[in-house]
Amino acid sequence: MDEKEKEALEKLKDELTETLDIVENLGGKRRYFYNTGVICVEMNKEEVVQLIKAEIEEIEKILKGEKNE
Amino acid sequence: MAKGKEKETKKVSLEDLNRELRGYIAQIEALRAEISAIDTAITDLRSVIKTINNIKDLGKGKNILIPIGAIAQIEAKIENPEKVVVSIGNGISAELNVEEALAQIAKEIASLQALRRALEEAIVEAYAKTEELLEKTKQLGAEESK
Repeated sequence: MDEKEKEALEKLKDELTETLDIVENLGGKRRYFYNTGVICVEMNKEEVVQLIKAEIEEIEKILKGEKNE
Repeated sequence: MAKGKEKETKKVSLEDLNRELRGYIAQIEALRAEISAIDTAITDLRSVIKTINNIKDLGKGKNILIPIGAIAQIEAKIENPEKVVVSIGNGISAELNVEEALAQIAKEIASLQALRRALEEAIVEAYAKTEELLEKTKQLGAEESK
């Protein structure tokens, strides 16, 4: 992986972390939606948190060289 | 011979200056394009604020037309004017109440305006560099023609 790819992944990780912070700080009972491309799927908070954390974990693995892109 | 070599060195540095100048001009153009994109985004967000407030004023049960792409719209009924689904990044959207949504949008506008200011400062700096390089180019050109 070259520097540019690494930088892009770091940026994506930061953005995901930012989104995760927003979700975790949003109180109250509310609905969440995940854009799957054309349609949005409704999710609850736990599902969204899990999804973002999994994506962050994937990126960390790629950055550490434990997984291919 | 020595004079010829000196002239060659000057020519190279003039080329260097021109290259650097072109770099700054390209940078200014790129920054302008980015500012223009930011302006469009801010206008869009202001339009969203207007739409949210209008929908809230219209209230539940009012018939509206929702754009579904290109030139097509579909008729719908306002079910819950108190809730707005707002993107919070990375394909995730959250259902917010009107006040929360308006606050989130205002925050977004403020961050875009801050970014715009930073880009404007960068343009001013690039302009100053351009002026400086133009002056140097003129001086070198004048020296060469002597």
